Amino acid sequence: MTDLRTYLKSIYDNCVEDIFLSGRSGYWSNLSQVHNKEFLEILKNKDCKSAVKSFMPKFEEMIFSSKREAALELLDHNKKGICIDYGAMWGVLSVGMAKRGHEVIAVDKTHDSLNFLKFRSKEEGLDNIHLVQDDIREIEFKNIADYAIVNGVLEWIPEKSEIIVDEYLSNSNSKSKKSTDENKLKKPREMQLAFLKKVHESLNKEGQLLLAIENKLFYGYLMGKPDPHVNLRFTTFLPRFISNIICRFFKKKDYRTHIYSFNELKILLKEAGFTQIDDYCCFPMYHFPSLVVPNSREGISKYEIYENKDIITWKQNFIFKYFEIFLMKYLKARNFCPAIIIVAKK
Amino acid sequence: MKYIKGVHRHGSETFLIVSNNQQRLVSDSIIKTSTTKNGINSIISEYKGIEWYNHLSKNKIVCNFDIKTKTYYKIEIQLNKGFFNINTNTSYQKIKKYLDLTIQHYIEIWHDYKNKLYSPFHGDLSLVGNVMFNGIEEVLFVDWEQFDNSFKMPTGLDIMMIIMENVWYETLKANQISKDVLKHAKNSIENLIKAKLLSPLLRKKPAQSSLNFINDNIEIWRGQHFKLPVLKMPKKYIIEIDNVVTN
Repeated sequence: MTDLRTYLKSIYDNCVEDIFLSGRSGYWSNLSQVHNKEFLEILKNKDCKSAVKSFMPKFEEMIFSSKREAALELLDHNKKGICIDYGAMWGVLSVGMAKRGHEVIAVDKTHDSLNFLKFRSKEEGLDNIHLVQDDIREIEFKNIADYAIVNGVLEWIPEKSEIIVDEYLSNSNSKSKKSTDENKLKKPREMQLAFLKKVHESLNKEGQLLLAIENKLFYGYLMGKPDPHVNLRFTTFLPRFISNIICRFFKKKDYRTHIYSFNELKILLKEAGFTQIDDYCCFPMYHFPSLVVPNSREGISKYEIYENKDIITWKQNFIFKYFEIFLMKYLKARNFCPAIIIVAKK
Repeated sequence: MKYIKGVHRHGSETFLIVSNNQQRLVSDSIIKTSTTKNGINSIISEYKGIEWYNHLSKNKIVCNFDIKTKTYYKIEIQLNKGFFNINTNTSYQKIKKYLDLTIQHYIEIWHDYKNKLYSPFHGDLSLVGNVMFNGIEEVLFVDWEQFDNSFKMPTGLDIMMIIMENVWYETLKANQISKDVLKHAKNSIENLIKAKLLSPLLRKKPAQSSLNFINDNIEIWRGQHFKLPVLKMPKKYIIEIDNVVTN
């Protein structure tokens, strides 16, 4: 196996306190810069779990729950390999892959998130996570990885502004800093394709990509559930130019966080160079999967009632218990499932 | 075909993957994996339980235990062909037969623990889940995640839990325990006593003392105790069972 530190040193001249630095700036986080600084101060005196519990309890499960690792089970872990976690954030999947014995390169543009991951890896006794602060769109890894993880990341590729998630979703005049003029940016699909080509290049001959993303045709979106990336109804599946008009009207910005249907995504991946593509229907969402079945007639026949902690109201209960079960179990309407997970080979 | 059937089901902290062999050359199997302390302990318990059971049972469970890293454990269990679960909607009249077969199987497997206060403990036997049957009335105990071999659970508790669970299911349908159900529960407990496989610790008030042992050793279930039907049983039915057994 390649000596990863040597390899990373050959790409990044600068490594400060165990984080390789690209020199490229960027920010994508659930916390503002100020809050992140406060949080990192707390981390100096507390263990990671206590720090999260006291400072941002609503993110505890998101950061620590190993439920989030479920999709990793679709990969083959029989031999130890190198994994690149693109857009690793707080690193729940990097930790998952490291625990499975792989050497992990966790790449994220937000230095503060990587700092947290550094604390966490140390606490968990994991010395096989290598931290890289870089813009994943600009990365230049070649034929190095056995695994690439793109979990909830592809849709954000076309969005180049600095993002604090809550502000991004709630404000019509987003406080998020615009680093680039939107008019100068390439089309979202072109940017996503260019990124996937880079991911493809980073994989070695037998390398596998694990990709998770919302399904644009999810029955929930068709019924009016807001697009999770812009907090607007119907934008996921309407023709892009109409979604763009809606987004410009309500959010004063372009609609760029494109998500796809199964077929569209597979076409995109083929264009990026991937060959064998296995697609899976994920329920209730890829962040906390409970059931993942192949996107095939036989696969959807394995649909069964699963535990869903997010069901609180009677309306959610009704939709889940009657509508989804009817749709999936009886109509086998797998193309309308909530999320897509892909395992693709180079 | 491989798919993820369950993720941390009932708080188990394991991933449950099913591998279906389409050519049917190899049996279907279920795979459990985990990267957490609790989940890894469940997998270790499962392996120990299967080993213990295979040593004593005619029908063996084929499994492959694999420590991938110190933080990632995996167990693959071949599904035994021809064995089935009974349906949750089965009437008590039909359940009686399966309950009797289950008790008989318990008596065969636990025969070394006659008159013993404590014995190895499955922890999650249920007629509609982890007890399986085949066409020739053979029984197989599966899913040993809660197996406890530390001899702190009284002999016969597994069966007491099944008896109480089935009584509880009946009360959900009828809002009371019918005489027939109560009589069968009494006979079942008496069979266990006759086989010397009901610990003296449970003889005085079998239902209430079973409940006490469960509550006092809740850590055995690693946070999954809330799934146990027996803990949902109203007090009045516990008293009713104990009264009919002791009178």
